[in-house]
Amino acid sequence: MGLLSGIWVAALFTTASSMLWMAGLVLARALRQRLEARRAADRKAVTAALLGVLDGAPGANEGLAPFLARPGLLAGCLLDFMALVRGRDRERLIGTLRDKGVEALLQTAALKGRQSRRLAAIEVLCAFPSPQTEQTLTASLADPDPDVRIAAARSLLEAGAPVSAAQLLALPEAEEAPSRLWAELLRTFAVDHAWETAEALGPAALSSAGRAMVVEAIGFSGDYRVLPRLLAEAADQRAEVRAAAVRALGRLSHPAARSTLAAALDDSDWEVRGEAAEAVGRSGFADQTEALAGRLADPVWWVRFRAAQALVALGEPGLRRLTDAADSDGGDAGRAASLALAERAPA
Amino acid sequence: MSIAHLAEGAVGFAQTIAWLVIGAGLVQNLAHMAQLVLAARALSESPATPRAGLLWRRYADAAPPVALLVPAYNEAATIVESVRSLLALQYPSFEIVVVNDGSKDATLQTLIDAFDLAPIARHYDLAAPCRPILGVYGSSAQPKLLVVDKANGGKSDALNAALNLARAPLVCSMDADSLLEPDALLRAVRPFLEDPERVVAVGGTVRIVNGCSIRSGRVVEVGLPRNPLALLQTVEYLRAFLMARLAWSRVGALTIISGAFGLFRRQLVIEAGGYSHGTVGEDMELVVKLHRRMREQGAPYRIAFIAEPVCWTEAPETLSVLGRQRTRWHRGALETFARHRDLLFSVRHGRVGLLGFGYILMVDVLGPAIEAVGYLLVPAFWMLGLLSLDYLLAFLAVSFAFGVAVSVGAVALEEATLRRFPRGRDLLVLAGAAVVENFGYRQLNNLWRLQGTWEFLRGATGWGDMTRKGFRAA
Repeated sequence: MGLLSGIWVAALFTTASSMLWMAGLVLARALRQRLEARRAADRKAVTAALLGVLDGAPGANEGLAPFLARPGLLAGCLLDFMALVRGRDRERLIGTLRDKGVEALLQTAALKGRQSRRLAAIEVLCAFPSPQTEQTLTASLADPDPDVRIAAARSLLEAGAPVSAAQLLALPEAEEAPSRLWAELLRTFAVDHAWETAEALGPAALSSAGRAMVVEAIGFSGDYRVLPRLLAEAADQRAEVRAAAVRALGRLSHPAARSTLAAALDDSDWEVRGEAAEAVGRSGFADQTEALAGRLADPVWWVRFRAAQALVALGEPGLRRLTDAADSDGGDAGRAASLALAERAPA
Repeated sequence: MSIAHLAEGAVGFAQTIAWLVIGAGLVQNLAHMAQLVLAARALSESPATPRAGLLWRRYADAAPPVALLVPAYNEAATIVESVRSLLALQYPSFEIVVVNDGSKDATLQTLIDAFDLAPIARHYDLAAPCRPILGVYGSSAQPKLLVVDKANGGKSDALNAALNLARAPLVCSMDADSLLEPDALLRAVRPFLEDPERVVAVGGTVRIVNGCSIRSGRVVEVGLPRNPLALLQTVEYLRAFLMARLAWSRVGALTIISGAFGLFRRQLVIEAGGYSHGTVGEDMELVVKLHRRMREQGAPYRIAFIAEPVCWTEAPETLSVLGRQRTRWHRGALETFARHRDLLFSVRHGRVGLLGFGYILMVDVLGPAIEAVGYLLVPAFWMLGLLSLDYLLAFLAVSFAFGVAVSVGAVALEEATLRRFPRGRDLLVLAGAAVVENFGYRQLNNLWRLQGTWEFLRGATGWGDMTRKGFRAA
């Protein structure tokens, strides 16, 4: 075959392949649409069966029978359904599903198969608290997929299973590039386990971002026992950790944090100063009015803004100081003060 | 020198030109094929997209606040519908900052009337340069909405003003006529949730709304455009977003996030100087600035494109408007390239310099000229008997076949991910458009790109008139 023929063959082959490919796409679309229609019908049938169980309709249990070998479908339907059902209805439903072997089915699905199926099964399993569920979810903490791991930890918490702070801090999510999903999980955990989390934080080898997330999480707990840990973290070398600690101290709003927050107003890092300003305002430390007023002239706008907001939050003493600054200062401090006064809602 | 020698020389010259054109075309086609493969791999490796209902369950609690930056110039016809659709977005915490950039029509008054706005005070910093802000408007009934009135300064200027007024840690740049799908923000924010330390910016897919039915600012029925130009652009957008951007994101060399829909970390955008003035390619220029800044800081980072979040936008349906748009886009690409030309093949700037800017050089800087030379000189050489028609046609056929294959590949990616086209026959129509675009449309595009090059060399500025029809109600 000469070069010319070869080029024409290549052109024709490529064109023919494209046409075949397109024909294949159209065929695949037709098949998929049929599959999706069937799946939609199945979802409808499962939902109807679940509603029948709730209503106590005779034969409703048998309505689930054809779908008991399809854990992915069941998990998907149950995820939506369980979000709407509470109380005795939920208990009755879970009891029926348990009798039908759905719990065991989900436990198996949680450990193998496609990621989406594992994930859905794990998310539903929290509705079936049991030693086997706990075992499955704990095993899933070692899943190769980060979404699955987070979901397993969340389900363990929702199922009321014992989870330790050390387990959560040992998740791969805590290393190098921790995710906000992991941070949110910690926040949920720390509400009831703040002390344990604070204790585990001490020796934990975390990145600065990870450490900051843990510190912030324990700030949501409202548990004053974590105060010493937060005060220690507020002196960390890393600005990110200090900022998180100051933010957490602001949430706790404990008088013992006063001097730490006052010192943080002069931190070398602007984010720490900004968080300190907000924390002082939130904590109601009216004796820091002058220190906050000093921050109205901070070189960084965000700190000036936070300081002004904090002065508003302090009420009368703060508003008086803002008025003074607005009247006497023509620079950044005066502008920050005037705008903060103008922006606040009328009394 | 004898006539035979001259003739031999002429033939040699003609063949060299022909080989240059063919070679450039083949290299470009191979690059597209590589993009297709990379995009397919990126899609196969990314996790399955959850249903909209599951997104909220999984991500809503962790999702950080987002400020939508909406520059508006002479948008009175569509701004209210656009803002209403934004207010109805399914996202836990967001604010909308609409900037009336000195419109000559009733954009501002339309907003004030529709949302019962009144002047308010707002503490802000002029961190990013912008023209004077004349007023800020809000309403207690619409706490998420902030309208900024300012002196006209262009899109970059308006975006900077919005950036200055925004307070959320993430900002989403948009066009005033962009229609976001209800869950678009929740999908777009995923990379920031999964990798908050490294992800700097995320781009989503932009689709053409022509031919779709809209109700209350939502696309309720997807359809193909009836207008042939818009239909051809549909195929182009599939290639541009589902193929090219996914591929570049995969190799860490994404140099553009569409101004119609992109999510950025606000602080980093401000540190990079905000949107640059004096360019019509401000979206591309910002991304390149971010790359440069992060590289020079030596910080690990990621600028990503993900296919699932979708933004719908109107495509021009007349040659004049489309031509102005494409000319402007090309001028913007060249402006960015020129501003950051030291990145080209710079090892220090990694794949952005080596691959990203190398590609821009090949396709945007040199490509239009080489293609134009091909269209002009190759037929001329053939007419002079200097080139063989047989080989000419054969190479044209190969180039055409590759082009169609790449477009079909982009449609296949659409089928694998978004599947927005409801009917199977839509795929056939798109395939037909992929064939037809080789006969005239691509050549027109090249002409517009040449025009863009000329305007760039002349130092032209401004956007020209972009006439909009508005959305077709369902």
